[in-house]
Amino acid sequence: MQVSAASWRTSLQLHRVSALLWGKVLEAKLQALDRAVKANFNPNQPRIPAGNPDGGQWTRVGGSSGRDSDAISGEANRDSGTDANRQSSNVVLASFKPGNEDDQPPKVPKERPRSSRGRTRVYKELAKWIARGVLKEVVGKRITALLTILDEAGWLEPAIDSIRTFADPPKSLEELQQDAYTSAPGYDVHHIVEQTSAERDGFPRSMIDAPENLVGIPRLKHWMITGWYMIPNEDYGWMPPRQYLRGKGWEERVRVGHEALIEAGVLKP
Amino acid sequence: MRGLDPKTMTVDQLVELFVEICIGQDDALLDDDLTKFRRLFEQMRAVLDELKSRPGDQRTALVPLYEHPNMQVRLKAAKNTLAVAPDEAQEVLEAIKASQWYPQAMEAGMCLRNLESGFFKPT
Repeated sequence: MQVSAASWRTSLQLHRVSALLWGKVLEAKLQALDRAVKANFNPNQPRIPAGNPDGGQWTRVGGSSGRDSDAISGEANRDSGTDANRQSSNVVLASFKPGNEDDQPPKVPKERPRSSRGRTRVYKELAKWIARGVLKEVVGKRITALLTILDEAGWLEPAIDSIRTFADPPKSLEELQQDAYTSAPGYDVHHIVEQTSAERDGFPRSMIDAPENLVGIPRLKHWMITGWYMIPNEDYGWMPPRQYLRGKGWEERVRVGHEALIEAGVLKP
Repeated sequence: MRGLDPKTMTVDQLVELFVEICIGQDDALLDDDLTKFRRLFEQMRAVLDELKSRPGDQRTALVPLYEHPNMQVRLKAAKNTLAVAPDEAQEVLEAIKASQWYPQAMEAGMCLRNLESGFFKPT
């Protein structure tokens, strides 16, 4: 089916307006959340010292080779079926201003990178930059900036949903499980207990694909979590968490899976 | 690190090499380049083993990296000084987690959980 240029332009504009509105709605929700947190604030929560450009602000909110490139996204795509309360930190890192406007947008090439890896790198840098805007409540501004970037780098258009969903606020487990059955652009179906290693260890597909093991999460978060399982890690005896989990029981896999979702900012603590 | 023998390097040179390796890891993470990351991870481990073996456990020389501009450098410096500067390193991990600077924020959060549960005992 051929789509006329006018129709395509209209569709593009609608997409952009939708993304812009999404950013504004998210920002409004974050402001409401911020008000709620401040209404119940903890006086011991550390602030950035006076004299710093962000002086007086809270430092945190509330306790709590080519083949390899394909390896992560490939595993993640296979997974998707489609392509403690802690003490507040007293450390203020002088040179580190998360979410600050010094946090400039990443450089985006006007021409589409030829390699999948090159394109994915840009998607990830943009997504992470937008998500860091959450702390400063500038997600809406950054989405608007993204739309301006899109004017110069139209090749990003197919990935706009994957980029913007990275900044989604965390949801309850029930919400994420429902999302697994609601197809939406920018989201993937994620197995809480990793399917490949579970299958290799003899767990039946009925457990692996059970509704309680499936969640719908932002695509780039899905890739990030899959990557975390695959790279070596000091905590797990210098081996990848995936390797650590080989031979472990279902409960241990669920525990690690839930914690990974929480620390990825996908699941509410 | 090809051609470099950690045993012949000064502590300052080892720290410099540690930074270079971590920046390379950050790049590998952005590119989803697992082969490169794994190679750099092993190199980092060799540097850490060498620092640990020096008199007085010279991993303390990594503490100033808590304020390095690169988040992967901060993360790895903090995780790998937990045995020699536990409180300070843990606070840096808390700050990285709170920053929402991914994927380092995720790894910092998981590390804090593993410390709290006693699963991860830094040595």
